Amino acid sequence: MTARAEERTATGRAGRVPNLLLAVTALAAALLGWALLFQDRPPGKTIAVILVAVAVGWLVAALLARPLPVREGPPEPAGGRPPEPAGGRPPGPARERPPGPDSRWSGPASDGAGLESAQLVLPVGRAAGGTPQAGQWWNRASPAPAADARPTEPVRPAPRDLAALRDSARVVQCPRCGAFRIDVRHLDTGYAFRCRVDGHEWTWRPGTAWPVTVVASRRRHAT
Amino acid sequence: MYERTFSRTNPGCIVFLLDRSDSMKQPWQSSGGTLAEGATRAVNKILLDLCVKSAKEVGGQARHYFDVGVFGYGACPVAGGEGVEPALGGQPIVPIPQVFDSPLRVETDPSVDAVAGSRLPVWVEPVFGYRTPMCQAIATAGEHVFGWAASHPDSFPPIVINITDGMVTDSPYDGADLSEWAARLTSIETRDGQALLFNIFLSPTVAPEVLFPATAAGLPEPGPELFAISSALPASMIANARGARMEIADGGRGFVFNAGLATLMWFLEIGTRVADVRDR
Repeated sequence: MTARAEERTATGRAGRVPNLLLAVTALAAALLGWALLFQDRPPGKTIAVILVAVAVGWLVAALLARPLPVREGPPEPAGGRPPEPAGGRPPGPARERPPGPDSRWSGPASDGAGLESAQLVLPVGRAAGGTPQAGQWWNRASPAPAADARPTEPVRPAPRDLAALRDSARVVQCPRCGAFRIDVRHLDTGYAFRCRVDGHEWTWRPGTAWPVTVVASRRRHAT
Repeated sequence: MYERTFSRTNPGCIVFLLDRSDSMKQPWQSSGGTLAEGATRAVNKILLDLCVKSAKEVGGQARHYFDVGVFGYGACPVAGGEGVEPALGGQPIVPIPQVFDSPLRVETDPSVDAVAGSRLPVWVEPVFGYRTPMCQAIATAGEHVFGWAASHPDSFPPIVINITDGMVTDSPYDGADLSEWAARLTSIETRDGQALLFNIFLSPTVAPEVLFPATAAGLPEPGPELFAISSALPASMIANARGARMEIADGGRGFVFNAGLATLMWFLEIGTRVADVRDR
């Protein structure tokens, strides 16, 4: 609740006393009038009228004595107290408020008790040496996940130890003509080969001897 | 990493942290002016250099190849007192065309190595006073650099160049010391790499200069601390420097100790030159 609201509430309480006094005065006047003017009437009807009148008067008095609802934010009338920011500080972002010898931005306001009732929400500057108002940018998520988006190195398998292949690698060569243009088929028991040059076919099963290639020199054939 | 060039599609971001502490009032070696005057003159020159690089033709308008920022720390001429504040018209990071169009004034440059004739636009004024809140400068600039990197994920990462003449006076700041703030700053990244933090230590007296060292051995205070927070130069910048016949060891960092005015200009040129702008 603002100071203005409290002021109005106090005004409402102050107005309740005259209204009650008015109601009591009205009741007393009604009784006096009954005593003077209607004493010759039947008492039952007169009492009923008096009770109804008292009830209505009480209800009206209660309505009049109820405090006014408080409304926030209407402009002050001319000549009234000007609006004041919290703590008497000028509004503005904290980054424009340098800490340092000038303690306007960092120390408590000098207007003391005025702060208790003024609770308007304004951008609050940081204390000297405090956290920058902009927030802890260094704790935010990285704006660009560089690790994910950077061009990555092409994926290559780890280099193989060629020495391990020395005993398993085979270079297929036609054992009859020495050609390397060989068709290979995988069989249940091994491999079947066919030379594209001279049509020679043979098979090889792991664990058996690799066929020896014997190539005859063409020059020798020619001679 | 660090392979992007500056283009209008992916502009670069260059931020200067300018020491405006009281010690910047000292005369700068034989330059005839104070440290503050020399540093601001160098920053103004490099801003003009960036404007010229961004122009398609001589005298033409600058195009948006760069976003630049200058943060002064120490004295705050606008807000008053000590602190950090943007020195380019009060704006943190400004597109280079806007910088091009809005110098404070144009004055005649007395030096003979003016970038463009003898008329030099002035964007930043020499100011000095108070202490050296370097951590706060990194914190303040870092927020804007972070925002820039978030909106330019495909650009060359931001380059932050810190020009100082003294010891940091606000470490630890907000619970973190200078090295932690530097680590936070350089953790900002684009897809092309992490932000770069370069440091220049100005010496009021003539002393041996150390350029782009690969080790902190032999550096007097505050050299080792500034060396530790300086980023290693990317390969493209090393190539640029070597192309300018500057000797840089592999692993050299973006750090100069006891820089004179000429060295400061060299450093700024090397530190802001990634590659020729393209898409002209």
